[in-house]
Amino acid sequence: MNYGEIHVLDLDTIDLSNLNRQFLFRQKDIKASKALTAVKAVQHMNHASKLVAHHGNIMDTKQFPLSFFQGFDMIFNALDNLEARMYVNKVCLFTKVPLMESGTTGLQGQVQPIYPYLTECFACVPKSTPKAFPVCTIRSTPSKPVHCVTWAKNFLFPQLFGPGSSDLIPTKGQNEDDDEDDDETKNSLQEANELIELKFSIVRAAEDLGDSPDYSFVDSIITKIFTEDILRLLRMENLWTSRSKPTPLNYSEYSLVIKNLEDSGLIEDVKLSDQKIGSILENLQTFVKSTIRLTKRLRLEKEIYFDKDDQDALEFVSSSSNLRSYIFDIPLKTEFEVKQIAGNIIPAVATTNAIMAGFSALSSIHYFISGKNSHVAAEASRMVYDSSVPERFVNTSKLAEPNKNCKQCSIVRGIANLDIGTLTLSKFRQQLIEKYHYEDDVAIATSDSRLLYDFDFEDNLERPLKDFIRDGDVLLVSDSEEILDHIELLISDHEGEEIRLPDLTIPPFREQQEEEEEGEEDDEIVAELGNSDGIVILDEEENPLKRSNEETDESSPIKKRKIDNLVVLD
Amino acid sequence: MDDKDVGNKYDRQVRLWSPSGQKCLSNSSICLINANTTASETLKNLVLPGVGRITIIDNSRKVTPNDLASSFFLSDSSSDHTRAGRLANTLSALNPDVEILVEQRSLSQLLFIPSYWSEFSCVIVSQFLENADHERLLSDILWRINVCLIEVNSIGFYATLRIKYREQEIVETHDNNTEDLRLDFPWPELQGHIDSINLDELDDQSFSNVPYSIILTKVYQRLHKRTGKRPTPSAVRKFIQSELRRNGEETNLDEASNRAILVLKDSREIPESLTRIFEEGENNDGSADSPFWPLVKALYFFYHKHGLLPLSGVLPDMESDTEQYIALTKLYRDKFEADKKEIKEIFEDQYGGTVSDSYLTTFVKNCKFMRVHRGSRESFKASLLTEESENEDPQRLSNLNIYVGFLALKSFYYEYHRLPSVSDCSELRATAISLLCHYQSVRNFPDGLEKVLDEICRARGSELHNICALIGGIAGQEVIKVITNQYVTLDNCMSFDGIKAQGGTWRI
Ligand SMILES: [Zn+2]
Repeated sequence: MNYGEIHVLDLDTIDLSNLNRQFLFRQKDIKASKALTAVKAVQHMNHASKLVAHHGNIMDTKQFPLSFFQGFDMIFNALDNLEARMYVNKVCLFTKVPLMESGTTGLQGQVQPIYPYLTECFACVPKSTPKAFPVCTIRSTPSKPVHCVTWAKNFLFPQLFGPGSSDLIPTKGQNEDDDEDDDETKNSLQEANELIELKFSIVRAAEDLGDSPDYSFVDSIITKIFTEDILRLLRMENLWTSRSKPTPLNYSEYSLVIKNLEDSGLIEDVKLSDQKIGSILENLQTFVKSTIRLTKRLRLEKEIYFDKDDQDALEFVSSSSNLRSYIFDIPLKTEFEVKQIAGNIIPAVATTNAIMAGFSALSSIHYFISGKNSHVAAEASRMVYDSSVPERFVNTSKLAEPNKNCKQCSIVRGIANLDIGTLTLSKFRQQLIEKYHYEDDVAIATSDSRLLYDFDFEDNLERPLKDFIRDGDVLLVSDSEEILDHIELLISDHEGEEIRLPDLTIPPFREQQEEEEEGEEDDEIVAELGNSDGIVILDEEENPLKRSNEETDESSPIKKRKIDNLVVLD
Repeated sequence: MDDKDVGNKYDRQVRLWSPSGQKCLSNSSICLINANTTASETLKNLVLPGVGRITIIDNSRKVTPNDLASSFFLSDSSSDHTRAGRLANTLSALNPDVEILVEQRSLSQLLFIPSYWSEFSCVIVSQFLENADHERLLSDILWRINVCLIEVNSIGFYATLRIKYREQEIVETHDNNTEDLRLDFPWPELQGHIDSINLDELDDQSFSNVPYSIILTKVYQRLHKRTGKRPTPSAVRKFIQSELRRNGEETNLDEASNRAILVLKDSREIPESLTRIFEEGENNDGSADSPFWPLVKALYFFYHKHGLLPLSGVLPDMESDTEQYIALTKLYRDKFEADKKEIKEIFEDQYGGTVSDSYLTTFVKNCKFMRVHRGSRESFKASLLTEESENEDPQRLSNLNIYVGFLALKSFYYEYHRLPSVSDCSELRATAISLLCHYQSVRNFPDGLEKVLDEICRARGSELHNICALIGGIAGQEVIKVITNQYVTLDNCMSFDGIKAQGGTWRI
C-alpha cells in the first residue's frame, strides 16, 4: 500500500514452530530477531516504504517512551498476550493514535479497529482470564491431569532446574505451634527443604557427570517425589476422609530395568511417540532420560526455564506429571496433550493469519483516505471476524460505541509534561487544583493504587515525584469533594522544564464501579493454564504491504507501524 | 529433517487437524493454473503448512515488470525468466518439505491427457483459462474423476472463490456440539449409576463433587415426574437453588445452573443435514472403496431402531473428584463402544464389507454433524438474482453483483483475450446483459451491478496485493479443508467486497 514509514516491533526470536505460517522466515533464520528478519525480508522486495525494525519489549518505557508512539499515524497490534494488548490499548488512549487490534486462534480470527474514545476500546468488553487453581489442589490433592501438569511445570521443574518456585512454597503460619490446621503447611515446608537438597544433588551431579557418570541422584529424586512425598501426604488423614488415597510409586519394581538402561548408556536413546500414552515404565524411562539431559545442560546454562518447545523440558514435565497422575489414579496424557496443557498453545495456521493480516491492512485505508479523520473512519470501519462456519465466512459489524463503564476509556486522561526530579508533590498538587479548578483538594495515587497524597496524608508533600514514579507512569487524581470525576495523568519526564498540564474537560463525579471479585483468595491462587477462552491471539503475522495501482497520496508520507510482540506464550 | 522436527514445525496446526490430517496434507498433490499474484498468495498458504507436491501450469509466461511490482514472490534475482519458475524458486525456499514442479507443457496439450489429472487432490485455477472450451474440458475431466476444482479470482477491491466438487463426504466437521450427555434419555447403566447416588446422604465434600450432568439428570427427572413435561432451564435453576443448595459454594451446582439450558436439548432430534444424508443414503450405493454410504445406512437402521443416534462418547470437563469423574467417563466410553459395536454388526451383516476401527470410531463420534456436499458444474443459478433482489439485505445483493461482475469479466476475457480498462465499460455492460439473458434470470439490470462493472473496469485488470493476500488466505484454507477432509468446506461459492470488507456465500 506504499505507506511512508513502517516500524516493526517484536521482542521474540524465530522458533521452528513459527515456520508453518511465516513466509518471511526461513529455516536458517531460527533464533534470529523476528523484527529484524521480517524487515530484512521485506526490504529485499522493492517498494517505497521505509522500514525500521525494533527488537524489544513493547512495554519497556525506556526503549519505547510515549513520545515514540506519538510519532505514528496508526498502530497495528498482532500481540499474543492480554497484558501487552491492554498496555498498547492504554497507550493509544493516551496518545489518541488509532489502533488496529487483531488476533487469531486456529481457524478463527478478528480485526477490531479502535478509534480512541469514538469506538469501543480493547478493554470495553471484559476479557476472560485463564483458570487458576488453589495451591493445595496442586500440591496435595490433584484430581485432574491439568493439576499434575501444573505441579510438574510450575513447581517441580523450576524447583529442580530453574530459579525455584517460591510462590508455591507456603509461607509459615504466624503461630508455628498451631499444629492441626498447619499440618499441610509444615508438610509443604519440609518437602520444600528436601527439594532444595535435591537441587543441590543435581548441581553437584552436573559438575561430576564425566566419563563414568553416577546417576544415583536420579533414583533419589524419584524416590523422594513419587514415594516419600506421597507417603507424607498419606499421613495427613484429614485430607483423605472423602477422597480416594494416592498410591505411592513402588520404584523397586522398575529400578532394575532403569539401572540397566543407565549402565548400558541407552537411556538417552529412549523416545516415546508423542501421540501415545506411555506405560509407567516408559514414563519413568523418559523421566530419567530428561532429568539426566537437563542436569547435563545445567553445567552450561545456570538456570533452565520451562519452554514448551524445549524437548527435554517437555519430556520432563510430561513424564513427571504422568507419574503423579498414576499415583493419584488420574488418567494419563500423551506428550502432545501435555504440551497443549503446559504450553497454553494456541493453534495457528498460515491461512487465518493471511486473512486477518489482509483485513487489518484493508481497515487502515479508511483512516488514510479520510485524510486521517477519526470520526469519518470510525463510521466507515467495520469490525471483522471470521469463523470456520462456511455460511458465515466473513462477518462484519459496525464499530460499537465505547462502553460507558469501561475501566480504561471512560476515564478522562492526558499527558502531563514535567520534571520529576525537581517537582515536589506539593507543587504538583497546587498546579492540579489551579488548572482544573478543584473545589477544595485532591487525592493523588499511583496506578497500582498506592496513595501518595490526600488531605490526611501529607507526609510525602515535600518530596520530588521521582521518589514515587518513573517516566511513563500513570497517576490517578480524584476530587476530594467528589464534584469532578477522576482523571488519569501520564507523566512524561522533561528535565529542566516547567510543568505543563493537559487541557481536559472533566465530567462530573461518577460513583466508581465495584471492583469485580477476582478469585477468592488471591495469594492462594496459582495462575496458569486452561486455554484462554475468548481471547483471540495472533502470535505473529506478515507484513501485508505491497505496491499497488491504488492511488495513494504520495505527497504526504504516511507512517504506519506494526507490533508483533511475543512475550510469554510463544 | 527427522520426525521430531516435523512434529515441531507443524505443531501449531496439527492441533487443528491432528496427525492424520497432516498426513493427508503431506501426501497431497496440488495443481495450480496461472501463476499470478492471487495464485502465489494461495500457494504460499499451502507451502507453509506442508502439502506434498505442487505443480504449476503457466504456459511458460514471462515475468513482466507489473508482476514484479505486485507479487512478494517474484524476486528479480533469479535467472529464470518464466513467472512459474521464479515463483517455484521462492516457494521452495519457504519449505524444503514441499516439492514444487513447473509443468513445461501447455494447458491445451494437457487437456488431451485425461489421466494426467488423476494424481491431483485438487486443481486451482487462478484468473481465467484461455477460452470457454478449455474451461469446459477441464471441468469435465475433473468432474468425472471427482477431483476438486477451485476457481479463485481477484481484481481491484473485489474477489471471488468458487468450488466445483462433485461430491464430498465430511465426517470430521469439528462441530462444537459433539458433547452428548443424554440428560433426557439415560441408558440403563447410566440410570443405575445415577440412582446409586443419593444426594441427601452425601456429606458436603462428596456432594460438591457430584458431576453436573448427574445433577441435571436428577433434577430433570424429578421435575418431569412432577409436571409430565420437559422442564425449562429456569425451573431447573430454581430447583437447584431452592432444593439442592447447601452452603452456596458448591461449584458443581454453579456449573449445573450455568448449563441448565442443556435440558432443552432433545437427544432424539437430529440436524437437518443428517436427515438429508439419510434420505440420500436410501438409494446411494456409494463407491466400492469407501465404507461411507453403507455406514450411513447402518446408522439409519440404528437410529430407526433406537430413536437415538449412537453416543458420541465425548464428555466435557466437569467439577468433580477423580473417582466420580472416572466412573462417569467409563460409563460414557462403554456405551460409545457398545453403540459402535452395534453399528459395526449391522454394517457387516447387512451390507458386507469391512471397515477399519479408526474410521468407524471417527464416524460414530462425529455422525450427528456429518456433511455431504453435492457440487455443481454450473457457473450460475438463474434463481439467485431474483431471490437476492427480493431479499431485504442489500449487502447480499451487492455481493452477488460482484460474482455476476466476474462472470461478465470472464466472458469479456474469452471474447477479447484481455482484461477491460476504463474505456471498455460499455462493452463489459453489454457482455453482462447478454449473460443475464442467457440465464434468463432478470427482466431488469440488477441494482448496483453497474457500479460493480465500473469498478472492475477502473481496476484495469490489476491485482491489489492486499486483496490477493486475503482471498489467497481463504482459498488456501478451503484447499486444506478439502485435502484433510476436515472442517466444513465452502459450499460452494463466495464473493468478497474489499471496499465494505464484506463477504457473501451462495450455493449454485
Ligand atoms: Zn474502553
